[in-house]
Amino acid sequence: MIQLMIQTAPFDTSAIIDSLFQSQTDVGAVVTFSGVVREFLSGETSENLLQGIELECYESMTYHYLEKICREAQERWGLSQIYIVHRVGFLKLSEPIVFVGVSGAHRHQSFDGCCFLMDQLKAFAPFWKKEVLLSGESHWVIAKEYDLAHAQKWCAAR
Amino acid sequence: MTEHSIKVLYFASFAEKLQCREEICSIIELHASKQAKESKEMTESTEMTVVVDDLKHYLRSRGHEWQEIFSRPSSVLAAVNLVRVKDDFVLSMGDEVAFFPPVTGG
Repeated sequence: MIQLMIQTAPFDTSAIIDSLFQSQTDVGAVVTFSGVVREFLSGETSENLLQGIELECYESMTYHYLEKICREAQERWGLSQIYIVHRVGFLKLSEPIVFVGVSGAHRHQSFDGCCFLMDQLKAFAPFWKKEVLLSGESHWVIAKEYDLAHAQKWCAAR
Repeated sequence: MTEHSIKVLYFASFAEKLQCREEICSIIELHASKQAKESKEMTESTEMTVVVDDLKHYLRSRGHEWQEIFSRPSSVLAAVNLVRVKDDFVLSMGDEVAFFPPVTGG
């Protein structure tokens, strides 16, 4: 089962984890990842300059892309359940941005499946972050080369 | 959207700089723009197709901001009908084309 949510509202991570546990009896491993808003101003030294981030998304393409990588992950690692939630709109410091949770028969499948999904999402899903400073100024976050490299290593591993 | 048009979307920093999120472009205008660019090489028998790069060329002619964004090929990603494509992808009537900067989600 695949469940995908792109939403402005905050989400309850523990409720989603509970639902991953209440799945089929052949599930032996649940692996989850949560991404959180952090202070990541490049080159700045002052603390707490960040008010939050503004997240924009090309929603129809994101759903289309996430469905594709979820089907690939299910096929490759035989995952039982996949749950992905990603927030858009304004998010405050320390709020969860993204959740990826998977359940499968064994730990290695679940670890790899979860890591694969997160690496692909990060490198290819059409989301854009803008940092909003306490001063009211804002700027778009620059994409990082290593995110692409992490995503591509899964192709090489195949 | 008329039958001879495509929908073009812009996201994030592109939408801000261009002050445009969505517009309808006429395929006929794109053909004309391409023909003007290639008039010397064109022969009568050539079947006219428009690819993503032709659309970028057409958009560059709109002025400074457009020129600046669409002149840097590595920092402009394109998708047609929700799937990432390269510059040589052939456009068809009714397509939804999107241009956006490298992604930063997660």
